[in-house]
Amino acid sequence: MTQPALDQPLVTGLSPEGFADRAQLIEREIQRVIVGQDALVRQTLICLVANGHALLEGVPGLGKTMLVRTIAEVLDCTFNRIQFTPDLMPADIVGTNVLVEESGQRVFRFQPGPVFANLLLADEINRATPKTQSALLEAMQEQQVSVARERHLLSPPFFVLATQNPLEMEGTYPLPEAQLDRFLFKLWVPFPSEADLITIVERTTGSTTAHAQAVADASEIVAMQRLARSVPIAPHVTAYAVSVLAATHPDGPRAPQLVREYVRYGGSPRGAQALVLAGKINALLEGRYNVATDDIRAVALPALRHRVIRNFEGEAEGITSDAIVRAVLDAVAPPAVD
Amino acid sequence: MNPLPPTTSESTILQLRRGLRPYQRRLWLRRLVRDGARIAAFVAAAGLVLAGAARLTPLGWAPLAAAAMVVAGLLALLIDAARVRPTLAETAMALDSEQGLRDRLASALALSERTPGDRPDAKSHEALVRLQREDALRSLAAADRRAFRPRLPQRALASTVLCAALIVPALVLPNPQSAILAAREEQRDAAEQQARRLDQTADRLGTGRESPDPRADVADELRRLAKSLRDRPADLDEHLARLGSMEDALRSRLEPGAEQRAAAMTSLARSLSQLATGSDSNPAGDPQHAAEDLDEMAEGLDDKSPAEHAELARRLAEMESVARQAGPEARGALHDAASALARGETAAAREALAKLGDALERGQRQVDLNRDLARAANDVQDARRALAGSGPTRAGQGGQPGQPGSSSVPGSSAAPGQPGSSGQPGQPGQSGQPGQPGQGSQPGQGSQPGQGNQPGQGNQPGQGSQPGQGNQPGQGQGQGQGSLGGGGSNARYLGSGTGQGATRGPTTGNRQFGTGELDPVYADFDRLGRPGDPSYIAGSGGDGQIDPGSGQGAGTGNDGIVPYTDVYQEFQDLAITTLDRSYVPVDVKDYVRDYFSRLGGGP
Repeated sequence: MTQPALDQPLVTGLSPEGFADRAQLIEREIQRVIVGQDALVRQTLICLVANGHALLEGVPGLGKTMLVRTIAEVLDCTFNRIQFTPDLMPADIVGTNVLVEESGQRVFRFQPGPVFANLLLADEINRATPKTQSALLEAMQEQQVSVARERHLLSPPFFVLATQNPLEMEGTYPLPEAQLDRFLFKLWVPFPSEADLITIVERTTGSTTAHAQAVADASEIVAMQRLARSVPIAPHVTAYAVSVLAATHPDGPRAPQLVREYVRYGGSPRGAQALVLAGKINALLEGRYNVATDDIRAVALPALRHRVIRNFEGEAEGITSDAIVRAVLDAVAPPAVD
Repeated sequence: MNPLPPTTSESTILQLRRGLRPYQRRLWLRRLVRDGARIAAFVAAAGLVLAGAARLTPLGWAPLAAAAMVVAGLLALLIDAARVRPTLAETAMALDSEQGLRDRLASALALSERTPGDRPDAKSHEALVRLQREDALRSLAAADRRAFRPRLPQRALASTVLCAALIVPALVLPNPQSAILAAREEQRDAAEQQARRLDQTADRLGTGRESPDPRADVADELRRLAKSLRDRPADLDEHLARLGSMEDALRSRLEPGAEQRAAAMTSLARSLSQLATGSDSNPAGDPQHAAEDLDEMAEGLDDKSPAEHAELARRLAEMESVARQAGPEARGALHDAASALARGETAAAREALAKLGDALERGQRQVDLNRDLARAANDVQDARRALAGSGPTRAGQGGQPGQPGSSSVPGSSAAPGQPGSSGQPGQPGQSGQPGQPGQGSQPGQGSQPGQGNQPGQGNQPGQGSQPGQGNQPGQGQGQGQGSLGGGGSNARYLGSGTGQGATRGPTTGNRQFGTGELDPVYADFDRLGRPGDPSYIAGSGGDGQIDPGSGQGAGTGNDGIVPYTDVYQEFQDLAITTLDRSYVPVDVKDYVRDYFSRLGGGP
């Protein structure tokens, strides 16, 4: 499957209406398997179209792995899963050179690791050592891996969905801030409602199991990614996104009291990029050609919650990152004219 | 997949701008209404504060300030109108917000100003911009035409209504400060009026005269006073003090017997002219005319016989009593002339007659000066009274009780009691304390039965009215009802008698300043007080208890009964002096003179 690079001009055009239709199709197909979790599916799709990566946090059994697997099925993309364990080595992720015999000669040939896939599920990523976790850094940021001084490009789209369990913290290695910053979104997987739970039980305990069909391929995802980046954004909306990010810094002029008291570091510039890019996709998903401040606010929580580093007092007081981001959104109102 | 639409033209954005114009005007109107309501609330609140302050303290500039507030409010609204005129971008943002257009209009307008540049996705970017504009245009067409309906800010509206509701009674109900303001205005008018009067007096005195003529100096001082009155009409105390000082200074220069002397000079001049011409050629008694007649008579002395000289000497000697009143100089010259003529020394007689003429003319000038100064003093006094009367009134203090009547002394006839002291200025309406009862008179020892059961009445008026001054103007004038004890009798010799000490007890409330019953009384102003003294008005008798006193005693000669002929001259002198020193209308002067002349022609 030949896939266009993102930095090349778009050859195959995709209209915004086509974008929205395709996205709806993907969502609908995912929801055939995943019960409820509409917001999670939407945010995961935004992450995918933004060519970013998502960190899913939730207790076991909420369907994180199922979600990623379903997305892979719907998108007709290659999918790999890595179960992170403390003894997992970087080579187990990126691959290694193995000695093979070809034409009577022994040569080293690169054996790609599971990272070489369009969709990668890094399950319980916080159970691996930081050395192994960092093996993903180059792949996530550069979309390439280097083995034995040789670079190996990853095929687009490359989408990492990492999961972590917030309960079992013993023997885990929390992701460093630098690696957290490389995730576009940090998504919280909520416990399903009772109605959704009934549906889940019915679907998974019957004689038949729901399966999703492929409704898009990698090239279409890349086209959607390119179109999303082409969406123009008005200066006042960009300024609003920057204001929101600036307000997450405790020394920012518009920082609310909660940020001043309980935040050690605010979001990085990647946070503003995430806000704008995710805002563009949110606008397209809603059938608009322009980005509104509401789009920025809609994606602020998943885009900033893992970029706001609480201080000791914040952690001791149990102030969540979500509460801080909500306080920021309350403090930084959209530009209004009366 | 549908390909991206072609690059758009500028027509869409022009339509978008055109479509935003009506909303721009409506948004402007909404802002004007909003800010106008706030400004109105502010002005109303300020007006309420001003109205409240105007009821607590006299603010003469309050109406001007209220008008200034309204003008300032209108001016602020005008400035605000220019300031709050929305731009198209603001209109787009506001319409996005009000109609829930999710930044469609604002984004389309903002992106119309930006060029895609050389970005690799410029084509798709432009296509999306075009789509945005068209989407914005559709959204604008679907927007509510009645958007931006003017909304009155509830808080401002409530404040305005509340303030207006409070202002109305503050304006309608009588304001106690209005009387003070009116009094101040009256005071200013009075100051201006009196300043004009002083200027007129100064002009009258100073025209054609220069220092060392005292009238010129007086005129300068009067002009300074008038200027001070105009410049500082509120400094009533100072003005009254200066006027009082000026009046005192003027009156101190007056010659007490000037009018008497003037009358004597007139009479003398008339007589001398008649003597010189043989006819009543100078009925008005003009001293200058008389001097000319004397000159003619002196020139013809040599032609007269010694008998005629003797006759002239005799007739001149007869005029000496009148000349004495005209002044020592005239009397001396007349005496010299008479003596010289009696001795037949015509040259000496001519010289004496010339001196007599000069004396008459100098005397006349002195009389004129005296009259000018007296008139100026009267003008100053009038100005002072008018100024003092123009001040705001204030309640006086409670009156003091009258003093008890004195008892009749045993063995003597019941003498009139001491007059009660006048009450001090009091608050209107307060009654004085009751006077002490008169002491009972002890039994007399008169040999003849008397009929002295006549209650004494000691109603002696208290101090005369004096206008209030300065910041204490209009103090109520009160006169304590002088309660007198003791009976009185006009019997020359009284036998036993019973005196009743009638205590006319409490004074009534002092009245507001006014001349009242004292209107017809023309009394010396200085006798009633000095500038700055409180003013009084006589109160009326109260309903005090009567404490009868009884006494019997032998009557003795009542020294209080004196034939009027014994005191006629004294009273006449006092009256004439008073006429000279005080401002008394001419007709009243004639009345007084006629009174004494009639008495003088009596028994």
